[in-house]
Amino acid sequence: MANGRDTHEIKRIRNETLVALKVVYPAALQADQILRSLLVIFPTLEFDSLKRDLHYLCDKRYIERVLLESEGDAALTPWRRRWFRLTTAGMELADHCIADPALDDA
Amino acid sequence: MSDEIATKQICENSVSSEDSANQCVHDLHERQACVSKILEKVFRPLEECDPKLWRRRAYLLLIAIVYERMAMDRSEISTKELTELAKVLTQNDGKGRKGRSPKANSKTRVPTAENGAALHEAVRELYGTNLK
Repeated sequence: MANGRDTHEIKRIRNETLVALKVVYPAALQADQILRSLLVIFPTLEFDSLKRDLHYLCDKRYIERVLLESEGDAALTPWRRRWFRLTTAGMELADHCIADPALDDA
Repeated sequence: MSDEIATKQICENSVSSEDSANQCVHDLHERQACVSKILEKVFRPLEECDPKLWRRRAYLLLIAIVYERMAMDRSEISTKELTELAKVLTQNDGKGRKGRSPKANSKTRVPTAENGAALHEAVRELYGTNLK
């Protein structure tokens, strides 16, 4: 359990994040837009919690940050304004072509 | 931030029981599937023609705004309307391909007013009027 969320919910939130990004693939969504999309089904989700999940999915190479030419210093861009898109591995996972026990929702 | 608070309030009210929560998930997935089809039909050639667009702010904003409005704004566009639009766009694409040369479906296809015309046609068929 992390931040009051059970394992099942953590997996669901991560999966739904991939699903939202799959809709716009190969384009991207901003973290704030991903949050609003998830709030439809997880109304109590907090941004800090989603931030951790985005970090996690980036570390697992399922999603990647899209850096715009206009972003002078990437580290200074507020988290809510950062763009993320699915990687090829993320797309395969979202399409159920590959499996990841850490994300499989039993 | 105010958008987030408003969304939370609407969702907390609608996800009041397990049944309605499941319905909410089902509805979102249905809408997402339709939005995916619509984006595919309307914007796909643009993505194919220039992968550099993935890093362009205007392109990303456009796709994101379309996604946000269509996938989440249930009061503006009903799921039924979205489903019909996706269906008509898919059917029109099939009709268009029959008359086209194989070259027209290649990866190097350049976006033209054709895509806009397909959307106009879909809207005309759905609502009996055009976008103008």
